[in-house]
Amino acid sequence: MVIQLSDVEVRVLEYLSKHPGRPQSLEEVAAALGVERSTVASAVETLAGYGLVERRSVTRQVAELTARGRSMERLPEDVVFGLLLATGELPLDEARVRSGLGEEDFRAAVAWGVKRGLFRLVRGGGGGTRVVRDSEDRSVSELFEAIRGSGRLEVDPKSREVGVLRERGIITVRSVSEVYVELREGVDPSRLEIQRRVSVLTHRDLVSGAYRELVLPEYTFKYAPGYVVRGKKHFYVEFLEMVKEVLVSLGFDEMYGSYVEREFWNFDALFVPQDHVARDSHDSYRVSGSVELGDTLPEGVVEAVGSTHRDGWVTGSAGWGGVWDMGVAARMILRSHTTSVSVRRLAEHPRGGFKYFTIDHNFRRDAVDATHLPDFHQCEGIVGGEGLTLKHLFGFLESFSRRLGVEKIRFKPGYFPFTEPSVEAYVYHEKLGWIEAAPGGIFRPEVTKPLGVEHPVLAWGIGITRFAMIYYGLDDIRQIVTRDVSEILGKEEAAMKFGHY
Amino acid sequence: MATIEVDTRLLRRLMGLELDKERLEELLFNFKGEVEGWGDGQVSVELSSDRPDLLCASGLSRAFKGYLELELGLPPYLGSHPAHPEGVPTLRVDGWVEARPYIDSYYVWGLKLDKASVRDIIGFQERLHASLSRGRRRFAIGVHDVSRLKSLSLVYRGVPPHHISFTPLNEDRAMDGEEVLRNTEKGREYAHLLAGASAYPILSTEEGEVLSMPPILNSNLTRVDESTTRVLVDVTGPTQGVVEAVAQLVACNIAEYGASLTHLRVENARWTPTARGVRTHTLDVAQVRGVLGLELGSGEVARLLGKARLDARSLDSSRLEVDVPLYRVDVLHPVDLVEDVAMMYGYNNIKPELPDHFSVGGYHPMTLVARAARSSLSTLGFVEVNSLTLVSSRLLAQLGFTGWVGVENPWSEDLDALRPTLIPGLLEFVGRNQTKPKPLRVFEVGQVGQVVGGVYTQRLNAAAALCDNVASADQVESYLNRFLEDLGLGASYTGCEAALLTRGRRATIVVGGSPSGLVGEVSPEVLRALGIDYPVAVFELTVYTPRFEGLTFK
Repeated sequence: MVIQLSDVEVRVLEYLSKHPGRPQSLEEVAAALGVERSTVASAVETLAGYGLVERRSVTRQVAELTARGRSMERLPEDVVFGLLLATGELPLDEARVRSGLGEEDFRAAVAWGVKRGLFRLVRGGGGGTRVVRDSEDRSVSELFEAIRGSGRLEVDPKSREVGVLRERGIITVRSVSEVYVELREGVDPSRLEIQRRVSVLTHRDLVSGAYRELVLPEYTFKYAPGYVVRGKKHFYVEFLEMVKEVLVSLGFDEMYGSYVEREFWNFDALFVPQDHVARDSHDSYRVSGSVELGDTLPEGVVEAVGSTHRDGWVTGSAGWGGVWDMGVAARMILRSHTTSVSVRRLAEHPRGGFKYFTIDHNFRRDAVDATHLPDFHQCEGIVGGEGLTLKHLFGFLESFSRRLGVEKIRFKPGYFPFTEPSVEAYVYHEKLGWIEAAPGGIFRPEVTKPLGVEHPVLAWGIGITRFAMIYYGLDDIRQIVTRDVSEILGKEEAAMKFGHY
Repeated sequence: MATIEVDTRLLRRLMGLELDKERLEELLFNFKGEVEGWGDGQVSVELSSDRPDLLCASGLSRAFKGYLELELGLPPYLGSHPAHPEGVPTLRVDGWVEARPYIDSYYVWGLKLDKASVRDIIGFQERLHASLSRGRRRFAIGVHDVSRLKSLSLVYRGVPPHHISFTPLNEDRAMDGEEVLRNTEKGREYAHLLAGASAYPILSTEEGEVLSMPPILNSNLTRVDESTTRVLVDVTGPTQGVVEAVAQLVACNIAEYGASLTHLRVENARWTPTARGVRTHTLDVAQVRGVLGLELGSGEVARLLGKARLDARSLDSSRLEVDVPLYRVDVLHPVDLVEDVAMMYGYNNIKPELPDHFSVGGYHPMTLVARAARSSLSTLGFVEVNSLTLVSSRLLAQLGFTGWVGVENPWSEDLDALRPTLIPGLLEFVGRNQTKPKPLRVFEVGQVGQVVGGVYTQRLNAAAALCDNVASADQVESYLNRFLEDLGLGASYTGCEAALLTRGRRATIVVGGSPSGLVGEVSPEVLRALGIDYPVAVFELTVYTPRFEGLTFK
């Protein structure tokens, strides 16, 4: 029979074979091999399983010093007895002084000395009470010294000496079980066929070739992973990266823009009237103090935008009427939408066919709650070129939504000051039903003409955070800015979400 | 956006049709409305702000009848002006009413009202006041039952407050102008609109019976109820165009209750009232086809505009003339008519299509750098954090940062600055997770905004923090070095004064000869102040400086 044994098990077997007929305690084996007792115990367990060794448990009574016992060099009555060896007797007071014992210990020394018959007290005869030496009884003292010397001693708990020391709180006695093990009769380790069993494969086993003789134990897998310190990308940022990938795959070029923006680019160039509620200080964040952008407003565009607001300029529009105030247009705000980025891009590059997108932060005055953040992401896209129509806008919104896993989409007429026609695309979600997802439209001539753009520009601006919430099943928008590291670590990779949406 | 409650029984009666929920929801959807909920005999619907003519049951009915082709073109009461048997009221403006110069008025008769329709009319006025009037600054509406008036010869003029005397709506005694402002709820609410005026606007009969004191209150004498059969609508305000459009809007939506209307000629010396109730736009049919991508002929476009309750006729082979009522305040440009055509065609009958154009997309370099930074730091064992870009200026100051963009009107003091650094967000995160298994290693890559020499600049920063029983400068330097290696950056270190880092255990990171970041151990004082019980070491580095359209950040 082939026997699979670990290194330790082999060593225990060898050790026992060197001590035939003499059972060894586990403690002794552990000390001899320089391993933990528990390691020996489990090795013995395996060996016994193969029928190679025999075990026997022995329970013994063992005495140990208490804290009080450990504080004593000698028993106090022995100290007093020692003083009497030379003179035979001493006045009680002098014995106390010379013993160096404290009041209480001295009183115990006298009481126990008298009780054990080491000395007696003689009263009267002038000079007060005297201590007088008597017979010498060493049995209690010897037990104390033996326990003190060995730390632990097997004792007969019923003996008088043990009784005395226990009563005085100098020792405790407890039962100790020890396992004794010896080779089973007739077992000859040298005749066994032993294979080395290891818990893990090591570098040494591998290069030495020892792996050929090794047997690895079966490991039971259980879904209880330990904590692994690891790095991880944030699920929301990864989600935005996936969206960018979709847009790039649809042929869009990415752009970025400034968070701090003039109302001119955020509102006026988008034909948002100057008295529109969105421009109110209740809605958008005004920048405090004076901050420059390091840019200049293009004069021609400013004039054209102003005229368009006032009376429509050459756009064919009636305009908003009334006055248009450059002071209002020059105000600095934190941009309320990424459309300012699109408009700046159009002003710089009015010609040519293009597709641009940006996904970035925007700011609106809102309380932080389950559905609002004052600082949120928008996914903005513009497509410009000859021959583009509302059909194509619908086409982009549909393709984009499809790539994000949406199967059904429908279009509702919408209203935004800067697009006409305007649309709000609704997408269908199995649990939530129809969700308002993608607002867009074709930029009004009042927007494009003043920028020098002569072709249609399709535009949309999606609240992309909402999509992220649906993907991750979040019911509170604040979870995207979670302050709990385990919420970040616990999230599935964004790519997987896309994979099985 | 405005959310309104519509009485569905009233709507069905107005349309003469049975409409189930689904059909009604569909109709509302096609007119930019989203149903928010259903109640007993009513529907709550959110409508867009560009179509005030749809903000009541009668306005919706007019539009739906067109969509369903029950009625086409301009509403009948706008087309003909039958003479009223008892004669047409007259309106004279006496002088220039400084506080509220412009007025326009309609006479509507033959009304058949009940509780529901009166509620609809009153509610409509209230919604217009609430959504479009900017607190009655732009316009104020009055609707008066004229049956109790002695005559219909009306006069609008400014009257010194103490010479005014009338019983305001829902009051039981006569008041002068001052008392109206002081002692009525509306008076107190809108008194500021007449502040400083020596004369208050008063609409009255030539006999001196007061109809209203715009923009505050109407008179109790002319209150409207179910028994009312003829009303006078007046609208006042500071802009002629707005006043005329709103007057027509209110009159027409009342006239839907089976009535006829007459536009009063406003006799005055200062302006020329608009006589026509419609504006005529020229619409190029090719533009309609070009915007929508639909092969529509001129006749088809005219038919669809008729469904939109507009009148369209051929001007020549390629152009239409379209009459648009003044109340369609959303029509500024022919392109607004194109949207009407699309809505009547049905947005969902338009087949989505992708253009043939071929184009190659690509990422902005900033995205690529951000990806590299995020990939490096997550591989180094850091967990990515996503924070708001708005932070607390108090915290920034406490940590010794300067040069942030402040917000003048923050919603909360905790979010009153644009972040100039990512470190406060990381430290706050670390503080909240300090009892979690350690080492705690976190990072963020994101844009920050800074004001340097009065000029705003925006950059992409990467920052990392490590927190453990021991988190030292040498540990964070090791990570920083691997990070710099991943980004292909060579760096050196110079002195650093950052107050949040421990003296002697901090440095400025210099890349390409310019200071680009900082690294070091967060000082124990800062940690204690933030309630963090473990050592923290950090670094932050600018990894990309973008160039934006029209903007050059130095």
